[in-house]
Amino acid sequence: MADDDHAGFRRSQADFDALFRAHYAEIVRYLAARLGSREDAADVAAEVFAAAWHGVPRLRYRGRPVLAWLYRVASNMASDRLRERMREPVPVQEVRGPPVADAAEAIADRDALERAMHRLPADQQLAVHLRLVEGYSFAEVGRLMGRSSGACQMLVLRAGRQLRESLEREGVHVSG
Amino acid sequence: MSRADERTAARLLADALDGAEPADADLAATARVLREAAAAARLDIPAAETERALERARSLPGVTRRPRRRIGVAAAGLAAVVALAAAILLALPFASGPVDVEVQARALAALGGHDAILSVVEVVRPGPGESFPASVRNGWIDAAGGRQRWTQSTTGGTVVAETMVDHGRVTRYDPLRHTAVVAASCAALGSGCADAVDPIAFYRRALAAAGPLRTHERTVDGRRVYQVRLPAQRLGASRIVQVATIDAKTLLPVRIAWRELRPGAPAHTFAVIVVRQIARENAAQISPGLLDLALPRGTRITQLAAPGVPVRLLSSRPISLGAARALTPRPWWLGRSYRGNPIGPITLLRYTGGTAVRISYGPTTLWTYGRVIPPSLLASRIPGKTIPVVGGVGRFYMTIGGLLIGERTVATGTVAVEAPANASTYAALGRARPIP
Repeated sequence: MADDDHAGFRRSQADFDALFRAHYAEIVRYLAARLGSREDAADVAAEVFAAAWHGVPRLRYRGRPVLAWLYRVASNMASDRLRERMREPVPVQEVRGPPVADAAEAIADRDALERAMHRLPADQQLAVHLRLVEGYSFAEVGRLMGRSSGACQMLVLRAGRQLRESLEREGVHVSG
Repeated sequence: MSRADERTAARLLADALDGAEPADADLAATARVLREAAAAARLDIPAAETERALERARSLPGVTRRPRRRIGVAAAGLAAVVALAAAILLALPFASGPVDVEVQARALAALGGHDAILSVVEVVRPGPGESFPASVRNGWIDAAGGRQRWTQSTTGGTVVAETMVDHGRVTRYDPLRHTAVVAASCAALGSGCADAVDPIAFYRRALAAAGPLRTHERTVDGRRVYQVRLPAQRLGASRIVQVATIDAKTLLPVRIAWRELRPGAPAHTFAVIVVRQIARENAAQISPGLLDLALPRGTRITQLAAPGVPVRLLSSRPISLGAARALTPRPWWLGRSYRGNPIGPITLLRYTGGTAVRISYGPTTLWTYGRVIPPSLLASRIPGKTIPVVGGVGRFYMTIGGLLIGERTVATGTVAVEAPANASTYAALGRARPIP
């Protein structure tokens, strides 16, 4: 991580454009996974960076990079957006038909996987995102999430099991 | 499961996600679903989109360009040193480099969707100091079906190896020696994965699974390319990696080098693959059996669970239908009865390297297995024919004792039927389905 030490933290605080360019894409990817919509993700990412413009210069260094703060804000804003959505009336689409028996079809069915991802608790989603989508090591994931590396490994294990259970409930069997 | 067991499982999963061979089928399945989920979430956010978003962010109320802080002379000097060090690091091959998820996502997209079947032609050349002759590899990769099939020939056209990879299980036939090796995974072969798995199939899988990779943009012979390094396998103290050169315009691989990294020794490139052709094929137009490998009569077959370790039966025990239903992946069956024969004993067989489930219906026996082929089925492999059956392609082999075996690859492994006559084997293979 570029701003993993105190000097890097100060640079991130001082140069908003560099901070934006370095982390905008990963924040959008994270929000798209949480919200299930790239358009919503871009909207909320704009709010995250607007908050960063005001908030980041006032942050105090506590051994964690500015990116950790960005993810926390993004996570909170995603939760707010999801709560707002729950209050909005939405048409319900009923899924009919027999469960899918062939895992190749089912795994290829990204919709089933995305639905399963959305059902994960926020901390598990974030751990999966940081380790597997963005490729941070578990040590880095731990620093970004403010947890131990082992705790993050446990979150990913639980996320994996829960994804499989969700897919099983939709009739998708996953093999290694 | 105790807390300690949970921690161990979490650590083993972390290792598997880092590229280690999963400890068991359950972890492999969990790792696979996580990788699939991550691949789906790896969106391509072009740099131009980031710049547009930055412009919009600057125009938001209250957000204006903040004056840069004045930096003292000493601090500026320090920054210059840091910048120089960073520049040196960036110039060293693979010592560091920008993580570019977009290149990775676009390179994966260039190979087609998850269900694309690729036809590839590659020239394999020895690395410096290696003495093996150059060869040509011609084959097919079916990512969705988890299968690869290729023929390796000398530059003069003599076939030296026929290989099929089916859900990780490798079958390699040597036509000159009339022998075949069936390995539970490429890691079980002494020569390792670099020799047994098609480099493009590996490249495709690694792009999807490895997480963001450090990408280096270069110009080679006037052509703009990206280079990425993909972890492949650990062999003792050494690590095998794949260094892929990707055309910046088409985002397709043009050159792949297999490289060995040993602690304290310079990197050694032992093979270079020049990609002559990659074509995406329509799965519907691929003839059934194209990705199969039928071994000629009399082939001497060795099955391996780990390097040099033959497969052997560890245990065999009867299980209830409920217990079979709880297995992952779930075994297949023919219903509560088949052709007037009620469902008979269900047996779980554990081998070194994998498991199998056997269900009997009178004279008909149904097998479900993963990486290890039950030796009794392997021993009787005499090539028959490959024909379409309900839901896929069936491969049929006659045993020496006169039983016919019909085998079908499914998403979770392989299903095989042992029955006395052609018609019942064919029908049973079409009727087989997962236990509901």
